[in-house]
Amino acid sequence: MRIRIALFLAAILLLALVPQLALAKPIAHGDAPGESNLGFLFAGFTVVWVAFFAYVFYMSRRERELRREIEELRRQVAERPPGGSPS
Amino acid sequence: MAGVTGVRVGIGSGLGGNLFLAVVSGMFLTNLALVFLYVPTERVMGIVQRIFYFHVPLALVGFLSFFIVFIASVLYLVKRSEKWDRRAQAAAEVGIVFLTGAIITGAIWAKPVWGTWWTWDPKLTTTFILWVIYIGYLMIRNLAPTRSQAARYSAVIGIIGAVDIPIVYMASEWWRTLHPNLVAGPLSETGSLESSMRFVFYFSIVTFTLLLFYLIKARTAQRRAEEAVEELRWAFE
Repeated sequence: MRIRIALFLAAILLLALVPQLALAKPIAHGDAPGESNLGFLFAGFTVVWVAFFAYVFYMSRRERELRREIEELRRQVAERPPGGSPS
Repeated sequence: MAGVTGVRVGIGSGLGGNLFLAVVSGMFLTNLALVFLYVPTERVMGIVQRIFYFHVPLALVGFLSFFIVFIASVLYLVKRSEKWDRRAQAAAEVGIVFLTGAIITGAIWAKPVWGTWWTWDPKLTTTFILWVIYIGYLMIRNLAPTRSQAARYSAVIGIIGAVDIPIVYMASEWWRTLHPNLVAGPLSETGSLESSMRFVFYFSIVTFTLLLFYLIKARTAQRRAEEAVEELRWAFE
């Protein structure tokens, strides 16, 4: 329980401190080279998010199938005649 | 059939898993803020260079995942304990996701910088070979006639395939390549990355590494549940 509380507090500290650090520095504007490549940057980040969400979605689907199989097995066990295995 | 009710299913279920996921999610959001709001724009490549803060961590963490496959495969062959086989399979799956992301983001970065999506440069070629090896690892698992054969054959591939990991990592140092040289880590040149860039880069690596561990743990637990259900079915039939 103490470890969980410590982890939770550490997470809160991290989430609070780092954005403060990020926003403390002025944002750089101006004629940075390659500004027209924003589309490629967007595509790159999109790929990353899509890849991870796709994998998490795949795992969620497997989990649903597992739950369905377990329910079916439970039902079959409940319907089985008492004291014997199928011949 | 008490085992049926004893099968636990859940991706990172429990308070610990949810808390870990919350922390990783928060770090991802923070990482996005750092990449878009904090780190300065690189002078030569411009905005598209920011893909580096995802592309390189994806690749490095992918390598770490395949190294976990290597360790788990060795331990499986030595101890013949199925838990190591499950961990190896989970790490291979997750590693492929990461490495695929690295390859695609690399291509997206390469188009505006090199003028081409792909080239058979040593770094890219060895990375592609690594990807194919671990695709083969998963294919062998599905094609082998029995579970124990699948575990053994894939463990051998997982061990041999790990030879490519240091080759990919060192390719830009050993051969003349278009790919940028190492900019961080013990083999990089001093001062090759500005301090704020280095901070964001290492923060990205930590974030992706935590995500890796979460995904491997979740998938391993799922594999355990899948095998338990399979055994129950066999026993029932």
